[in-house]
Amino acid sequence: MSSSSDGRGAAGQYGDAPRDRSIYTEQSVLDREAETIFFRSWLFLGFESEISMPGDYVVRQLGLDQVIVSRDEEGGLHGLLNSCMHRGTQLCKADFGNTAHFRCSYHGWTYKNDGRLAAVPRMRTLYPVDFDKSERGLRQARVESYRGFIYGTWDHDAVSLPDYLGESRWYLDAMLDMFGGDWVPYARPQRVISPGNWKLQTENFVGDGYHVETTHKSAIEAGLFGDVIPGSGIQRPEDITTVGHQVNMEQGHGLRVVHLRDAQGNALPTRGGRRYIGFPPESYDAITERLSPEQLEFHEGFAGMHGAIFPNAAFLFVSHSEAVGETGDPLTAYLCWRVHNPVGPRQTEVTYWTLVPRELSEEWKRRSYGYQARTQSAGGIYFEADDFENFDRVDQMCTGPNARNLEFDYSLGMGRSIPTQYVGPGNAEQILMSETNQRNFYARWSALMEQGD
Amino acid sequence: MTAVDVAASRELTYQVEQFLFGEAAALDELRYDEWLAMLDTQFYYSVPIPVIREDPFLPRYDGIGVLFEANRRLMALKMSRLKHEYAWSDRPPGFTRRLVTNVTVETAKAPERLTVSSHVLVSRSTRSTNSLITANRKDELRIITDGPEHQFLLLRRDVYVDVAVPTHQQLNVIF
Repeated sequence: MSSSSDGRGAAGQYGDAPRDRSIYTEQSVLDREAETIFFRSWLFLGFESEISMPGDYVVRQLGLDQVIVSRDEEGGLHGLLNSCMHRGTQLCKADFGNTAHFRCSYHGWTYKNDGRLAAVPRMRTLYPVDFDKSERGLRQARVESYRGFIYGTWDHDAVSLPDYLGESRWYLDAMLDMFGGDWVPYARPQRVISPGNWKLQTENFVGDGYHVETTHKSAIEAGLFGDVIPGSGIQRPEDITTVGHQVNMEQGHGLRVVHLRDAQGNALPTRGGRRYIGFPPESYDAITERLSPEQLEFHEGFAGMHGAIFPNAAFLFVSHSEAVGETGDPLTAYLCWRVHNPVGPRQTEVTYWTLVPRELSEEWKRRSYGYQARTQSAGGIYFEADDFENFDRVDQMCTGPNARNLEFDYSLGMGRSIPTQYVGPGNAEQILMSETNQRNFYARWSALMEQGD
Repeated sequence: MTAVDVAASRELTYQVEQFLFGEAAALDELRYDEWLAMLDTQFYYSVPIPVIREDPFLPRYDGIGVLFEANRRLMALKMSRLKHEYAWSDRPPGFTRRLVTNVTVETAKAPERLTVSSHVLVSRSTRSTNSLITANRKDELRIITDGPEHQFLLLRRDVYVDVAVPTHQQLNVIF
């Protein structure tokens, strides 16, 4: 796999990605992605706390296939293809529930919630005498969980999930460790089908800081991101500079981190102790105690982060002001986790979860959830709508005979970043806005599409 | 119920319907300042998440999760930016039409409050998309002047959409 300087991936049919617009519209590309990208990668399924009790299940997409993600009677996790081994009938049409068995509606074949075929009507009288139920359990994906995040893969030879996540784990840990890893989704996930290919949304999250000041200009002007840092002694926005880092990994993951610094680019003073933007002051001391020295350095002036786990999981960790809440609300953070599943080549089903630390007050958790629900949510008519508008506009212009051969430009930030020794792992550059993460994402995408692994 | 009660309740329902029709027209015709004036300062709006359960007798909407929620301030934020070129998802506007029907009115437990249920069919059309969606709205109205000609403000609206997983085109409206 190469990550060359002009964004081109491996030579060959997909070597010109991401410039060729047909990769956002063609079924043939999606078919190839199904064999390569969505077969070989670990794909996000949900959270362990969504299926905490034996018998619990949720029905989710694992790439282009539908699976039942279940917790068996012994507490084990499974990703069961939602298709009977007899005639392929969809076994479960519900979103979630609790059951010991799944019974097929067609001929009554019945499976345990761990996928084993438990009962076949008239087996002893009508099936061949050597009919073996144990050979006909549900097709299963490999399922692993990292700190409560459940992923699945169809590739039984893939590296382990922790190895796949690689250096992205450090950044996930830097968020989760603030509250000892004990975060849960506040509610059931939101879902919406949005216009545009799944890669358009994912590349936005993997590193697009450039779009914020245009797409979300109205949010900035409304003061959504807050313009003062409580208690820092710095009140005027002119005293604050924003420093950005782009970090990416060989697996295709990428993230962008924003820190606030003083006008000289130094850490803001921490008079009165460390503080964590968006979280209640009474939690600060406990957060500080839990973090490692490197994590403390990372959180110094930390203002937000967004990123993507290759190929199609994404997250946003940001704080908003009372502009979207009630007068008197403090700046409040939310951690939104998303997955972008293809519905054909030109539509994407987006699923959103808002994670909250279990130990914080119900009032804080509800406000955090509400801030996500008001802005970057499935039905967000403010904020998220402007992002979806862009994806629709890109999609609209990908199919004309003259448009489809027009190259995209992915040169933002080339030669303009500052080499940096970053506190976290991965390929890091100091630059507020760049397309380096997108170039890295597509380099990995191209290599997988071309070579299959 | 006496004949007088029936007549009074018919008249009240008629006035609530006219209020809802006027509200729908204000939204369809982009008269947003007029629409905002119909909202109570404590207005809260939510679109609960539809859930598919195997058992038909379980609730079909989540009790906690929402696809979207807003207060009056957020609605005003969205609308106040429409004059500016960077209201990207609203410029150009689509064509919408809200058909409001099946209106039922109940006196709520709190004084000067009404609980109103209505159905809405929303069509939306832009250059790139056409969509339809129906939903049930459970509203709470505040009566701000008493009879015979009542005036109302919208205090709360919960929208129950009739789709399992909506498209963005369907959801990108105020119901």
